[in-house]
Amino acid sequence: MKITPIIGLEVHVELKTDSKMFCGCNAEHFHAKPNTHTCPVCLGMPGALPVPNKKACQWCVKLGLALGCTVNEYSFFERKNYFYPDLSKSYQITQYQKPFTVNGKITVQGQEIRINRAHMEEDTGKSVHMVINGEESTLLDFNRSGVPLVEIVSEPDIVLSIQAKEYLLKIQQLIRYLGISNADIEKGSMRCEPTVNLKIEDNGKTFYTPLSEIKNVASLTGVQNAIDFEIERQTQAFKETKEVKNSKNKTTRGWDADKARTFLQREKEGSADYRYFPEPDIPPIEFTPAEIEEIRMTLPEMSEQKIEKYQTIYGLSDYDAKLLAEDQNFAAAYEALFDTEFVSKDQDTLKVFAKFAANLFLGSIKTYLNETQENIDSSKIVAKYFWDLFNSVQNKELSSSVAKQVTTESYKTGKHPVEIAKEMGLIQVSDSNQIEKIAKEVVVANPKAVQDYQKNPMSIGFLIGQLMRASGGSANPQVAKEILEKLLKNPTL
Amino acid sequence: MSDLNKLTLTQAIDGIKTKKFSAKELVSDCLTQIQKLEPTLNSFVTLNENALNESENINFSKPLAGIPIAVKDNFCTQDLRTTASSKLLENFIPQYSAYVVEKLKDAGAIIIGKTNMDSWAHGSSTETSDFGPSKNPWNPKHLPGGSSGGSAATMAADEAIVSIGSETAGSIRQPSAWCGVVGLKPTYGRVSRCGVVAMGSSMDSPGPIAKTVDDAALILSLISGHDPADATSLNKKPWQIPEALTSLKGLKIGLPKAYFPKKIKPEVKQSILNAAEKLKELGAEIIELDVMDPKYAIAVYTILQRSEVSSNLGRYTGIRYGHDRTFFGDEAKRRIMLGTYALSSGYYDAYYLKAQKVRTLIIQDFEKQFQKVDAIIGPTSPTTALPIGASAGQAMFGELEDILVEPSTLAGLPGISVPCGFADGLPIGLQIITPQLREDLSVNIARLFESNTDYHLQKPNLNCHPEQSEGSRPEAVK
Amino acid sequence: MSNNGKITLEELQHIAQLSRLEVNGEEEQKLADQLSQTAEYIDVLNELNTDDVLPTAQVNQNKSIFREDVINPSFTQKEALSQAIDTYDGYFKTKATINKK
Repeated sequence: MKITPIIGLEVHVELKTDSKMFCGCNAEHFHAKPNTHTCPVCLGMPGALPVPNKKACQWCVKLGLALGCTVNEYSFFERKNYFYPDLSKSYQITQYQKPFTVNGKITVQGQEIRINRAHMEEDTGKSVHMVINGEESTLLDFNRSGVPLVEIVSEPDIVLSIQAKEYLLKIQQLIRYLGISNADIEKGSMRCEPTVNLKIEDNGKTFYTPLSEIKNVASLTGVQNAIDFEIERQTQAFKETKEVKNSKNKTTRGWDADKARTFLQREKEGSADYRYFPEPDIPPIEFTPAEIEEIRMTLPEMSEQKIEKYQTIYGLSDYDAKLLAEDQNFAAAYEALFDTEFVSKDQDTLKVFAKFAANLFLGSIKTYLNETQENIDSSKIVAKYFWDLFNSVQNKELSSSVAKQVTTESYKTGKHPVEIAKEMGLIQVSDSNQIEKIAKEVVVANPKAVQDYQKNPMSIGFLIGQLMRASGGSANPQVAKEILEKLLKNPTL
Repeated sequence: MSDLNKLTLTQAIDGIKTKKFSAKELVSDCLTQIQKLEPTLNSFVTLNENALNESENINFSKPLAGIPIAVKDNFCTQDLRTTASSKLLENFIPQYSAYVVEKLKDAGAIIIGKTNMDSWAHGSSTETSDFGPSKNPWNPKHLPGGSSGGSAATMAADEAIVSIGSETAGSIRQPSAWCGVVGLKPTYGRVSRCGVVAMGSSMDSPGPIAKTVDDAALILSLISGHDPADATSLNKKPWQIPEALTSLKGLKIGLPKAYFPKKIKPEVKQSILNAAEKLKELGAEIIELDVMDPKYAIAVYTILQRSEVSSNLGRYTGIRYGHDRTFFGDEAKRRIMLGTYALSSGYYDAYYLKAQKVRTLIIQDFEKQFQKVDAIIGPTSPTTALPIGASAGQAMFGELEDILVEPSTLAGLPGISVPCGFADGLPIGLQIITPQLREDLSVNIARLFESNTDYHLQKPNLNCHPEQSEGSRPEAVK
Repeated sequence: MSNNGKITLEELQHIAQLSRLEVNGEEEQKLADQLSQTAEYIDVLNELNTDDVLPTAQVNQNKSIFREDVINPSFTQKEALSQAIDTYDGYFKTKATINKK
């Protein structure tokens, strides 16, 4: 029996526009007092009419373009009719027959995942279930009602749960690059609903198990675990019942993160009937090729492009390039180092600097940011400091490890890193005359060690240590070793 | 002065501006008339208790300073109960006003009350109101038409100076015809729908119901214009009242044969033919037209309107306002369910999509006709006001009653109904339809017709009606 | 078009459920008959060939109507809740949602 999971993902992303999708209420709903960001439109009062938010629509198109989608030049909104207390109008304004963007694809770990569509819609209100005076009650807050949402629907091209996770990370990174949403899964500004079933090949026959759509998954690990659980559950269920997919047996399952299992929420999704029809309150929307181009021009350089640039122009490793490009602001701060008058015109030097700076960014600054849970502050990245530091290391005034140390300090304090090194006495002395003078003193003061050296040249370490101590740690150890060797081999000097 | 309530809008504005009488006297006379006639007519669902107070403080610089206006009860009025004549909303006091209401208030008008209508505007009789039927002032044993029946009745009965209705298909024109007053249905999008309880969203058009064509025109000029809160509102300046015509010379007016169905009341047919003759005398060329059979428009309208209704009424769940869904009456239930059926999976293409396509054919048919003529005339309704009880239990009553207004409404065209005759003491209406945005033409034809006839000057004898005994008494909280 | 316009009681109950309306015993048959009557009437559209006709959703030429992303004042909590039958601590309150099948 050969089992191949078929996984598709629906991702909902809340856009961080100032106002809601169809009315002028503040779209920020996190921690707002209940029902204070509401008006006739988002409360679904009689006679209230929706007017689409231009920025939200443009952002949806922008996201579609970033996902490699085609923009429909003619599109329209539709009503999806269903009853739920948090859905104020009893219909959601969404897109169905003609979404803004369709047919995209993204590459995740070398594999292409097709995107069916990225369309515009609105969020619902929030329900809280609780017992009040002994009665099971639902409390409703409509602050979130009408917040702009983009729904990204993938084709079922994913076959592994880890791929699903990587796909989501990629989508998240892309959205953050575009700056249109915080795409925070824990806070609900990005929500993922995997749809899972299995292709089972057995004795030359092929079966497809019933689809399950998994809801309430609130973390990336959750997505991965829920899919894994579902693959296992469907495998067992198939063995027991042999039930195969039809148009009526799609189910909705919830993810219980505590018990690490999915559970049945709604049966027979096939009987749901949303009665979509074109929203008569909103005229159709047309994007001219020129308007689409205009939006395309606003797309920032995406991480793939950056990674490629870092590898080909800066000569970084694939590993470093990916880490640098992970966060757009971090990458931008790194790139700013090359956009300065200090930049070297020599390609080889440039590459050496790029590698040097990447080490500092990933070794010092990123470590510091991770520890402090801060985002990078680009104003604290001064290109001149990095070039000065680079030159100091090149001139052997500073060691690479000192450079790392002072970079963190410089980022924290804003001081010039070389100054910091000087203050801390970490400047290396590479001047051979100066070192020779100290070396001679060390040789004179340590006759026993000199004797040892004559028997065993490996014992020079002790003398180097003495020399370093005498220089206050500032001597370049490589130079010190060379001079000591010269002196010891030639005691007459 | 007495009986100020009988004034037309133009006369009332002039009287207030020239201080012949005060706004308070005007409002007071209207209230007296309302008090006298409401037990019989039931034109209102709710009266504005503050109307008299508001009339004490008016700004003379405003165009409608101190004018008492009756507004259909599907327009939201802040702090004044708005029910759409449904029990479901019997306690609903909106926190906001409709665009039209704002415009009227900005112009200085005083909302005297909210007029009765078919519940949710579902009907052509005002008989399906949850607050009891309204009666036709010309004969209280008859219906005023609908759904803006209350507004039309207030005009015939002089309970207000001017009124506001709304039309999806016929709801302004048909009750105006049955009550012998003027109803002007603007081009779809000419007047904002914002704050009007939605019925058939792709057709709903608010408009005036008035005593004269001039009055209706003045109101349209004040409530039209672009509203950024209604995405279907046309980006046009407020409509301007056109220069009056002295002759119809050079105008071609079409008379569609299909607008005289077999079941038409003979007197209605004769009145329209007489009216056509009159327009000819005034210089117009009358051209007989072969138009698409209105039966298709009825079917298209039925599907689209029911579908939109089924979705529009979804929001009434009793959680945020109003009562729960068990408070819907039979007609609303029927419409919601048919619309749900038409949109449900497996039927969408056969019903909704098909209707949208035939709607295209209807629009194309009008485009073709308007290459031949400047305007189209016909009876507003094939009958005069029907007796109370006529609509009961008829699933298609409204559609069949509004057969002559549905085609034009599906094309978003403007139309006006003006009085053009009487049969058995009940008024007959002539409708004039023009291309979109050509209200200037329909208003001018109507104005010239009106000034050359005297139907609009005739008033019902309201004293001869004894206290109404039949029909249900209004249950509304007054 | 449809199954000759007749709406069965089973279909009627399904429609009622989708519409969140309750239809009781006596009403059931009456409503089914009335809806069938209407459905039958609208079958008249089958007389027209619409193969090459585009659907009309809206009758005016408006297109691409947007609002700018600007915040306008909202209701106060008190205003928002003022028309509700039942509220609790700033929320609208309703009976617990039961997923009626």
